[in-house]
Amino acid sequence: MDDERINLSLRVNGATHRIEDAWYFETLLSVLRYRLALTGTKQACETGSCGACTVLLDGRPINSCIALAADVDGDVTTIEGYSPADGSLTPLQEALLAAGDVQCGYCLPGMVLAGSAFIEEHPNATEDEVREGMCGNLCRCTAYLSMIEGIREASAR
Amino acid sequence: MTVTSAMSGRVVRPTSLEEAITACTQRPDARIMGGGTLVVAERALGISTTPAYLLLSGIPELHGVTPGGAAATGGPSRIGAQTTLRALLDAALSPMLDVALRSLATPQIRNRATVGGNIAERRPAHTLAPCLLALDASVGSAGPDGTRRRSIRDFVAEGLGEGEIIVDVALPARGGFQRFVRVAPRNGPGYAIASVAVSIDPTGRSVHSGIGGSGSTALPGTAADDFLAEAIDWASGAAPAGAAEEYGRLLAAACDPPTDDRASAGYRRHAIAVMGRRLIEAWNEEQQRG
Amino acid sequence: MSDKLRTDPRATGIGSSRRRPDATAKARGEFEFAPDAAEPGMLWGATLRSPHPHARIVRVDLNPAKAMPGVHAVLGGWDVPDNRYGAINRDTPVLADETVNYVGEPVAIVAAEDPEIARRALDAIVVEYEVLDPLVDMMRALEEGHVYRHVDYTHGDPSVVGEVQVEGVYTTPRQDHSYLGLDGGVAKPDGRGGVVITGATQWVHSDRAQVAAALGLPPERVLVINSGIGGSFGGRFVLSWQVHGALLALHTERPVKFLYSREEAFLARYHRHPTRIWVRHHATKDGQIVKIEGKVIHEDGPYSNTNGPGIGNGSSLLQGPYNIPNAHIEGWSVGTNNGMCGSLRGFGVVEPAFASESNMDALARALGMDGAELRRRNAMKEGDTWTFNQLMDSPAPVRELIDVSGQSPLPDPLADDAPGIDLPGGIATPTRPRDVTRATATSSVAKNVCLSEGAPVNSTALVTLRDGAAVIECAAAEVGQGFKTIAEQIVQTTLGISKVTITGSDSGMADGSTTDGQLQTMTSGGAVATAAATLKERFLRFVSREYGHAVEDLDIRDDHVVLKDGTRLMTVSDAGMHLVFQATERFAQRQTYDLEGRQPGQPMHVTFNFSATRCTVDVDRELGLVRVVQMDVVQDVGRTVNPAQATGQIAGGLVMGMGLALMEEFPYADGVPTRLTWDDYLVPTMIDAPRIDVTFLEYPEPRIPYGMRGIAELPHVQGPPAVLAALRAATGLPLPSIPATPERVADLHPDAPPTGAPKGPAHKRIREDVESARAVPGDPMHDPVSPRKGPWNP
Repeated sequence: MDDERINLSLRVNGATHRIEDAWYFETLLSVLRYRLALTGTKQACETGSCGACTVLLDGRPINSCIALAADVDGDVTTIEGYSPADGSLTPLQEALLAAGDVQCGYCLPGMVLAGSAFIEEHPNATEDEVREGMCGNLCRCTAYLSMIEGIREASAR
Repeated sequence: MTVTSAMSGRVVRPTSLEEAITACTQRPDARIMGGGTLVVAERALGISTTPAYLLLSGIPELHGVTPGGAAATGGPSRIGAQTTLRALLDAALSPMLDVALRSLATPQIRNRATVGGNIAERRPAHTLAPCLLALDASVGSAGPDGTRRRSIRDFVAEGLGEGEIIVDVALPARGGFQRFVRVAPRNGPGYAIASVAVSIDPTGRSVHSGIGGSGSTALPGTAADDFLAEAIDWASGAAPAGAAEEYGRLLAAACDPPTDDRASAGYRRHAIAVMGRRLIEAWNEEQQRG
Repeated sequence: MSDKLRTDPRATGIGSSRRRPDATAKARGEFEFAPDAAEPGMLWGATLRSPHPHARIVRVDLNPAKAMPGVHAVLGGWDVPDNRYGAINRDTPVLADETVNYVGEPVAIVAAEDPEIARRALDAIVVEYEVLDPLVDMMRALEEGHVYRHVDYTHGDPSVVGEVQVEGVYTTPRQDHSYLGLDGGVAKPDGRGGVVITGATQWVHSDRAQVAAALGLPPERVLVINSGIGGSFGGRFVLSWQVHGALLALHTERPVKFLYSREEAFLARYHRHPTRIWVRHHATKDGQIVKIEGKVIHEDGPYSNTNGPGIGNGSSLLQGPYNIPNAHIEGWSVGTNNGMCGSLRGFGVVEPAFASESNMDALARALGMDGAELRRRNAMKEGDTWTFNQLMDSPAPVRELIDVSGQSPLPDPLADDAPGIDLPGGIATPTRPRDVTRATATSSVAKNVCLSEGAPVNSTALVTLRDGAAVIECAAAEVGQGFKTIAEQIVQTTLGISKVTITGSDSGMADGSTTDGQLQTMTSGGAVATAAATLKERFLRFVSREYGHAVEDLDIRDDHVVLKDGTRLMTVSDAGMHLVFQATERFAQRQTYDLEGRQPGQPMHVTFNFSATRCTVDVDRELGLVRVVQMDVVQDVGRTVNPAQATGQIAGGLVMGMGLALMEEFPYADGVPTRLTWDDYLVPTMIDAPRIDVTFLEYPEPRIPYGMRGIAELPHVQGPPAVLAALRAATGLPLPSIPATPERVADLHPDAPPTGAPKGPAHKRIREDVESARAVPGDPMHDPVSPRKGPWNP
């Protein structure tokens, strides 16, 4: 069983973390949540179907639930690293909240990170661009109305 | 490299193709993994206990897209097997691939899933194989017995051999009409119930198609394609009246679709026939518009 | 969007779009949800589940698992002091003892140092089963008498016969809650023989009672704390891991964490009951409905669980929001081995609303009348009597709802060059704009608000005022619906102050009722309002004594004590002299009684809410692809406490209902569930979401502070009839079953069976659909749900 444990080093939110005795099959999500206590990354489907576990890898959104931790090579940004250190909100976070219908909020960290990458690539996004570009993030509470609105607003240049 | 002990016995990350093939032989129980979007989920779902992983991410020659030349005159485009779906989308090689890649998965998946991974297991619901059939692609692979290149038709029929790894996909320069359509249980991302990809190249006077979701693997629509290539008046480009309908019928006849909890075989056949017909109608309309 | 719907953390009071107090923490990923809970030195729990829908347990050997390094406890059914639980009927084993009755039923539990070790320990447990035949068909269950509850009632003269009769058989599928926040949390010993459970539940006090009873502990030895709840929708009314966690914590004397995987959540938890409903409307030729007949079957799984009230709701609300003078309704809740069933948003009413609204569509067609006009003509109003013999003694503006829903602008016509994402089928659709049939149709629904038939509906709140700031304590669960926000707003308005916060929810507080049945706004909200009013009275009496003003001259506005004419005297903070003022009030809804056997004047339901929706769909009829373009919904909310939140509840509920209408189904094949991931069980994405236009009517609810009325279940009830009415208008098909999959909407009538052996439930379902669509009334050979014997045969 010993060879089932591996040591990893991961760059997360600008710092390098050495993780000892992880299972060889552990996902990035599992390492972030249960070994680095970065629980802002949410666990929800484990099949890459919902986007709640979205993190940025070198600036691009990926599903951390189906990324093998041993195969992650690059800079990982989680919601903890994305959010301003002074406790405030980025314009995107503020726009998502102001637009109204956040409910349970379990999808929100993933939505914020996917949205941050989306608005980088889509200035002044149209409604259809948001619907396509954010289709990897499920929300079960809302009708997505204010998410579309908030992300459009945050994409305005 | 994130694995500090370069090779735990259970996570192998070779840095060359040669190493990878050796590793396959030494560790035949290892699951070969491109981006892992399928493979990693399997363990979470308890489908497999995956005794070891062979990661292809560290092999430089598997990465990258080399665009080919202009239609008919240029050479083929080469797509490394480790190319992510996002990188393939960005390469803008084909209007068909553009639509197919945008429909087949979420942005998060496209950033991780690879071209090789999407075709390696020849799953019928996967999107790229029908497109590659329609684009008349070839698949390069390497294994213990050396390297080989096969047409995508042969590849979807035969699959990979023991210890064999996909190296790249080559798309011949091909102009003209290229479309991919699908029917699915929801409008958002997810696996299709059935899909059809068609390309019609007026310069080479050829028709190729691929059908997804309707057999144990993606299927080429050979009989339908042959019929249409004969039927089209290549001088004007138009297919005669009734040809679109017949094309759809022939596509559907080529399938032996399953009945599962998403759709019946009957619906799948119907959808394939309708999709085939509408695609040829679209071709005709393009011809009329000039 | 309207500025009224923009949330603002500084906005205060009823009617403002005050931002949720937890919003910033949620957006920054700092808000702790139950799956995030952790304790030093905690173990991980895991559950061994039955692979069989029905089997006798011959032998269980836990020893191989116990012997594994890193494993701290392995327990079976015999280790549970009193091995049953249930939120209403206490008949569900905590761990299976003699038999297993559904796939996923818990058989044994493990606590280990790591989730993987726990999983491997499960693999090491030996269970020998004698596999038994599962009962998987609800009609067979009915015929064989596996009935949890049967109701049968009439109203008026059940022998009345209408000039026009229209009937149909309608089916609805099993639906999963699919809330994002996985089931889990931490149980830890309290050091005094008791246990503390930190998790996610709709009702901490119900959990406490169930856990204590199963453990054989006095209730005060169990403390249930609500962590952040990642959605609920009725799915956290009944326990899942809680007793297991508590048992393992007590055995190991260590904290134990459980966290279900998505697959396990599908297997372990209950789902919305599938139904089969026959309805017959009798009407005059000019469209006056004179009678409704109905037979409602709920398939309610292997344990009775919460399904008694489900069939009570289902058979009482079949009439919909219409005044119908005569009726004969029967309902059955039956048991099968197809997994647990229970409450899901719109409990027991989503299904009859779909059936009766579908039959209303058919009746309108038969009468040659516009569907909206038929509904207007029969609209219920205050003062009417429900078929279950209860006076409608609060507002029922059904006709106005229907009229207003028709006043929103219709969507722009589909452009000739519309991209795939705007067409049925989405990106890569084969649908061209010219393949699209657009149709718009109106439907209307009613739902009971609060728990019914004698269930206790009351809540207690404590409000404390000190230094001009108030703190609310109320155990009502915040599942995302926004109770905490509106509680703050209610106190702001009642007390006239701006600084108001609310604490967490645990079972050490007074009972705050359950977050169910759209009851919290008007129940815990009522308690909060009443407590704040009492507090204000006490505070002003104090001010009167201390500062020498007549109490009747005093008021509080904008954080100041003022005279009635508005003159500011001092700040509330200064006036209070650093003293603490408190008030606790219990607010109870009126008593209700069982559907059958009530005395005249005794209500079955506390109250009701109503909505109407005009829905526009685009349909590719040849392929059966659908896009819901726009939904214009009008709902009477009594009083809009928070416009942004109310809009969110209504729009979100409609989309969840649209999911059920078009794609959501959790099927079983021979007792085995076939969709255990979100790649297979599909819910709407941003691409599927329509435009939604929400309008509120505000006819105050009598007897409730500020006239507030529950909101959140009705839009889910509204979703399926709204979508299906429009689909029927577009296709002319009866579409008697949901979800309306592409195959159903394309209306294929395959003459020959498909090649290959038909497998799985889909094929069978489709055949039944086709047959029921073709069913000839009165022809038993063609009526697929009329067995030749038994009570079902109408």
